[in-house]
Parts: sequence; C-alpha cells; structure tokens
Amino acid sequence: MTRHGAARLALAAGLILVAAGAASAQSSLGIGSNEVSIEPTGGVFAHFFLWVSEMQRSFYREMTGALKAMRDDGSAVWLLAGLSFAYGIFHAAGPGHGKAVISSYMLANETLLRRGVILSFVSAMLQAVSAIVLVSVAFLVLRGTSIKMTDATWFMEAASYALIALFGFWLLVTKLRPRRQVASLSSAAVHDHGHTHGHDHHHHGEGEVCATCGHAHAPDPQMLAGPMNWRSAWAAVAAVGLRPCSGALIVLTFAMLNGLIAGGVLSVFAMAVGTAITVSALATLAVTAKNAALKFSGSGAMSARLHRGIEIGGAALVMVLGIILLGGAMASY
Amino acid sequence: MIRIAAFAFSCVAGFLGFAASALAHPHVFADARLEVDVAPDGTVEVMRHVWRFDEVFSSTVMLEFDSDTDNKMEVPELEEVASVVTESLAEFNYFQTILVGGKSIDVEPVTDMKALFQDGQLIIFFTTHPATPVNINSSPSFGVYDPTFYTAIDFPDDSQMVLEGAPSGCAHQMVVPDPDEALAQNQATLTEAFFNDPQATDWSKLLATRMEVSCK
Repeated sequence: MTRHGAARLALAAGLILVAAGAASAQSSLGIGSNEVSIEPTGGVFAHFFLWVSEMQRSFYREMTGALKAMRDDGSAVWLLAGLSFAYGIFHAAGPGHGKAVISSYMLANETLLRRGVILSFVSAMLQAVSAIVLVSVAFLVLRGTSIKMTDATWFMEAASYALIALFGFWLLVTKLRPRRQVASLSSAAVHDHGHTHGHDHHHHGEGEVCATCGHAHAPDPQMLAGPMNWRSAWAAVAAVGLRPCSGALIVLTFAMLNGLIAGGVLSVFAMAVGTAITVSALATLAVTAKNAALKFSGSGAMSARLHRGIEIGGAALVMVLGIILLGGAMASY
Repeated sequence: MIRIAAFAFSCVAGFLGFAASALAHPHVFADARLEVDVAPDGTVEVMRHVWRFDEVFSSTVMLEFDSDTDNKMEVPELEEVASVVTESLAEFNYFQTILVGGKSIDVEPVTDMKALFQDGQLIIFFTTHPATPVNINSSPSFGVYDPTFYTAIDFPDDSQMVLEGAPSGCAHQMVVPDPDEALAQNQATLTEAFFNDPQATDWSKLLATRMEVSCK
C-alpha cells in the first residue's frame, strides 16, 4: 500500500469512529451554551461515561450550592475551590476540553511526556482565562446591548474549532511531506546528517576510548523537540484554549452578578487545575502507548513507517475532530 | 506493517472517539410540575408545565436579557426570554415524549409561554397539546426530558404530576428511570441502533421522568 493509501485509510478509520457526530453547541433552551457532545454509544464504555456524567452532575450541583452559600458566608470559598477542583477532574473526562485534540496532537508530534503535561496545563489555564475575559466583557461591555453572551460564546467556539481543523490540516500536510531526515537516519552511521538538532558531538584523539561513541541513531526525544515543534504546540494550545467551558461561564456569571468576583475566579482556576490533571493523564497515556508501539516494532524501516503511520493518523484525527466540531457549531447557529 | 499501523491507529481513534462520546452533564436544573387534563370524552385536552430554574442559571438569563441593566426583569424583557426559549425548545419537541403503545406522539407548537422572575429564579409556564388525539384509556405515558442533557428537568415528588378529569378507573404514577438500568436493559438494541444511525437513538424514550397512566 502506498503512503497515501495509508493516510486515506487512517483518515477513513478516524471518520468512522468519530462519526457519531457532534450535537449542537448551542443549548436546547437557547440561553447559555451546552458542551458539544457526541451522544453516548451504548458500547462498552457507556457505563463508565454514565458514571462520569453522574459524578460531574453531583459535583456541579454541590459547587453551585457552595457558590450560593458564599453569598452569606465568605468562608465557604475553600469548599467552593475544593469542589471546583473535583468537578474539573471529572468534567475533563466528559466531552469537550480538547483532551481528544491534545492527545491526538501528542500522537502526531510529540514524544516527550513532560511536554504533554505542560500543554495540558497551559491549555486548561487559557480556557479559564478566556472564560473570565468573556464574562467580564459580557458584564461590563455587552450588558444591555443586543449582543448576547450566548452568541459571543458561539463565535469563540466556532473560531476554536476552525483553528483546530486548520491546525490539523497543516499538521497533516507537514506529516505527509516526504521527510529527508527520516531517510538520512536510516542511512545509518553517517555522522554529518544536517545537524539541526543540537546535541554536541564531542571529538577525541586517536586511540582514545569512548564509552558514548557509536550512540544509537534514532533521534532521542530531546532532539526532536526543536523550536519548530514548540511553535506548533502553542498553536494547539491556542486553538483549544479559545473555547471557554460552559460550566465556568455559568458559575462566573452568577459570581459577577452577586459581587463574588474573587470566589468565581478562584473557582474557575481550581476547575482548570482539575481539568489539566485529567487531560495530562490522557495525553500521557497516548504518548506512552505510542512509545511502546515504537519500541515493540523494533528498529529500522518498519519502525520508521509505523512511526509515520501513527503521526499521520494523529494529525488526521486532529483535523477530523475540528471539522466535526465546527460542523456541529455551524448546524446549531 | 501498514496493517499494524492502521490497527494501532484504529485503537487510538476508537479510544478517543469513545472518550469524545461521553455524556454531557446538565448545566441547568429545573424543578418541574406537570398537569394533564382529560376532556369528558376521554381525550387528553392539555398538558400544563411549570419549570422553575435554578438561581445560578437564572443569573445567566438576567445577564443576557436585562437590557436596561437594573437587575430587574420587566415584562418586555421576560417576553423576550419566553420567545427565545419557545423557539429553541421547538427543535426538541418541547422536551415532550408522549408514548402510546410504544409509539411517539408529537405536540403542537407552543404559543402561550410566559416567563416570570421570582426570588432570583426564572419560572416558565406553558401548555402543550398532542398533535393527534390521545385517549386516556390507551395507557399513555407523558415524559419530560432534555435529549441534549443540557437541562435536568426534575420532579421533586409525585405530587408534582397531576392527572385531572380522568375516569375513576384510571391510575397514574411517576416513573424515574435509573439511567444505568435503562442502558443495561437496552444494551443490545442500543448498540445496533447506534451503528445504524447514531443520531436517531431516542434517549428521551428511555430516560425521561414520566407519568404513566393505566385505566381499568
């Protein structure tokens, strides 16, 4: 099978599996925004997700309860922070929150666990910030105008999904482009393969014994983590972080209208930390699975092709997720 | 080799796909009341609904619809709320599931929604009418459920489900399905239905809190 065949296959598989189709982002009441959700499958995971949904629901109710309690008693703020954190952990296991996007991106591009964790945290924090900015603008600027927060949220959501789709497309193009680096790597022990990755080659005199010489020529993760990859990582973070979370918006709105601004902001950041932990765990899982697969496949051409296969698949998945989510948002407008 | 890659990818896509298929949880909570009125000839005349929304969601309504920013909801503002909600609910059959012998019956468009703000809570009132006549002797059930999982419509207890004007041989009870059980019981059909048409799975039928009527 050709490379393009493989890519097409990967794309098709992704399409079929994610084709449950996104339900509308706009809420059924026309006020506030719903999480974009893909309906439950009734498959083996259904019970697990039902449980996750129950946990989210109960933490959400307790969290909003604590928020109301804070109106009368300021000390409820710590309870609120704790509940928000717990809610965030379960909430990120539910729909949205870019966990699928971040995980797919990690498959396509990353081998470093540490970076997956950083990306998850930064995108979660950005989501919190975008929720705070959105509600502040709605409260201070848009209030009393004909522009509703629901519309502004929809716009940010659609923009986020469009960016994700674009980013996935760009990633896919990059991955499908034949890579010279791969070829040079398989041509074994030639030492002068265009040294863009910056590990220092030490030099030594004749007859000197060197323990680290003849080092493996698979690029180690550190070497792949060039500045180029960081730039694409920030693109992923921005695309994901632009979309604020519905729960955060509702909590912040209530907090603002009741003069509990500090509590609302604290709650949203506590949620973000909880969310980041879950997304990190999933991104870590994706990278670990990828690295394990590469390890098992051994070395040489086969491993290189598997690596490529996974990367192309990951990139295709980012694009497909973006397109489906965008489709859902457009359909609901 | 490519096959291995494709397999590995399918596993990952499957995992992520299922992960993405998690249930959204409700962000809005409403305490509800349902009254079903039966005409003398035994057909269902009208279903009256009252939904009282939670304070936290109600603050979003206040932020968006209080156009003169006086933290009070006046009549024109409330009328706008009612019209937005009516329009949106229309796409979801107003969260109504009327079942007669397993068959769904739609409701006519809602024209009389009223909104009210009381103690920081939004309350809406409206009535629905079955689009085709429903005889109370046909053991119908009347469910209220948001199929998008955005709103949780809760009936605090069975005194909030009232049947009026029904013949004396008719009894009614409130049924609150346990989602876990509903899922387990329908696992086989659900999986099949999902693969045939993922969007068509009707969760309202399985999960709605409903009034079941049985007449002797």
